Amino acid sequence: MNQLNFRSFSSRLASAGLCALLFLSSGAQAANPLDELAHNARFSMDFSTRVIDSMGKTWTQQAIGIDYHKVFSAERGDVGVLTLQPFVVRIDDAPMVPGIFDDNHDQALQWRIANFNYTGLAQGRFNIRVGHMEVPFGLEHVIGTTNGTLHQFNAPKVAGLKADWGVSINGVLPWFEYEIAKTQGSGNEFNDSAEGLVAGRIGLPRDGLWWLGVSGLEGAVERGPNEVDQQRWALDAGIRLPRGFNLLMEYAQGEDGVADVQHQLFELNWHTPTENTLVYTQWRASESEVVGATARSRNLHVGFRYMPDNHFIASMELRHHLDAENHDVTGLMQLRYRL
Amino acid sequence: MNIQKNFIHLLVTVSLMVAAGYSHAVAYCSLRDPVRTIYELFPEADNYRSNVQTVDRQARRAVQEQLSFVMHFNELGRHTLYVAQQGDKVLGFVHARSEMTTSGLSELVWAVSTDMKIMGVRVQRSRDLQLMRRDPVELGAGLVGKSLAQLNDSLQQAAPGSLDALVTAGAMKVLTITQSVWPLEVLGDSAAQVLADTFGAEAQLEPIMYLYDAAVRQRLAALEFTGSSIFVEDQVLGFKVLDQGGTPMGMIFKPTLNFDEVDDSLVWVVDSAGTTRRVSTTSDAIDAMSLDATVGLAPESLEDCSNALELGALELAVVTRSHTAL
Repeated sequence: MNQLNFRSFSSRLASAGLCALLFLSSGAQAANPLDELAHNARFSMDFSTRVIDSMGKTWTQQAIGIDYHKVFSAERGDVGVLTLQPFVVRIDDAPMVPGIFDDNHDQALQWRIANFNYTGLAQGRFNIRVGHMEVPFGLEHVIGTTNGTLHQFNAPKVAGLKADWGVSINGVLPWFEYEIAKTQGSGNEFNDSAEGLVAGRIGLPRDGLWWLGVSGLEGAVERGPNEVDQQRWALDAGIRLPRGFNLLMEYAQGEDGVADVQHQLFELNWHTPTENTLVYTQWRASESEVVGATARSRNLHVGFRYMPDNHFIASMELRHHLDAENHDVTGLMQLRYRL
Repeated sequence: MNIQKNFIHLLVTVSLMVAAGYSHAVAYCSLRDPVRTIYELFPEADNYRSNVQTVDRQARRAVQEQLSFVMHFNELGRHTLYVAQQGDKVLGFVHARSEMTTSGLSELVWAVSTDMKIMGVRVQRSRDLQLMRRDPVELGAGLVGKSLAQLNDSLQQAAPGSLDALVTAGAMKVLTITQSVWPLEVLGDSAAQVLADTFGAEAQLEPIMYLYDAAVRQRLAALEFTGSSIFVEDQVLGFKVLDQGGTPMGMIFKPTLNFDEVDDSLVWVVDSAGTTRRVSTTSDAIDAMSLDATVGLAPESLEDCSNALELGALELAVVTRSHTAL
């Protein structure tokens, strides 16, 4: 395991627990603490196993974690929502070493989501979120169901990272919704000495026939041992089409250090009438230009997800890297079970 | 120290300690309250309170037995009833449910009054674009103000397979599930304490959707109970009280009195022998002493009654004896 400081892990867990306990007095309706844990709460244990075939190599990823969601309520209304998703993730035989691991046979604690959103201020118009949250930027922020799935929206490339430690203000108003966050830029690791970044998205209501959003981001993101200055703006949109089809689009442009970058994503997806099967195809194109050199990357993703009940999810995705040597194709398969 | 082993041990321990109940295939971080819709359906509300309970197989059975409807697997599991409030006064309830239209799943958000009548509906999400474009006021026009029995009458008149039939069936399902899964919320603040004081903390509730069924009407007719009830018939909510073994112990009612100035804040408890065990109200318009005078009464006939409240006790005794007979 990477040199996860046990004190850091336990202090984060204790902080999350303390936040929950501090608000128990406002909404506690049970003398038994275990009853209070279950009151107004949802809890799942989540297991997944993934096989990836890429560049002629096959490697695996296993994950086990919990998904805990609790609404704190008082007599006069909801006070806030606590969401905790700590996972232990293990990779084996990986051809590269993703950031949170030390080598290609390793496991690490991954904080997917771990935050408290205080909603007791202004009828949902002005909430304050603290903890590990999705960086409010682009499509990833709208779709919100991509933790632990093969189906992703390019957040690490477009925004630099998918989730981060920080604080945000967020809310839902009659004609738009928003979230603006100040985060550390360190991703999974807590690093309060990092310069950090500010990111935000404002958009039309996401549950209409169509929606549009604008995002901005500025600051520094940790990439390995370095911090990279990033500036980015993005436009995202979605439209519901007849017969269960949906079209999603995202365009982002900005700077990574001295490089000018541009990212595009288009997705056409389709749900079966019962919504237990999703089929999608994504076109992703990225361009990075530094004086004298332009690097391009175009990828076509085709995937499906099958969900026959409230527990089991089977997914597959093929990623065709059009600009890679030999037009390499990455194949991914995942089985996931939520208890 | 092996951190990941300790973490996994912690996971297993916590999962055994906390009731998992039903799971939800999609991660909980994607859950979002229908904030906009709640305040649209209840514009006078200044806050709402969430009540998360499990829509389990018992609720599914209640829907299937009472309504003959099938529920999608996504409808089971932990779901939220939103209690719209103005200060601490409950204005009504908001509940989102999935319906299978001819085009596929649609999510409808319902507003329900405290006496279990439909107050409005909004389409949250649907594959049916015509349904999404439909004016919500027009969509709910035939449903607003109707109780379960009245909705059932409307359903009989709707063309099978039509959008009206679908939406009416959805409304009936919402009322049935709300009473099955959130009975204490429906009964109001004092109900939990009244129930515990009368029948014990382990008592369970089972809603009776059609209180005044043929058997009850027959019994009332046999008593020549033809006078006007002090209760508004389609605004009497009733729940059977069961012990842990499932044996009926009595019933708890939330009746609306047939007086203009009185609201739905009456809770009336009757045991299976027909004895009024408790009557409580938070309304200033009702004479509490008169209500207390009905406690202990187990009227068997009109001759046992000397005033309107005692007639009410007789009526609820008949209903209770009919529904709790073994």
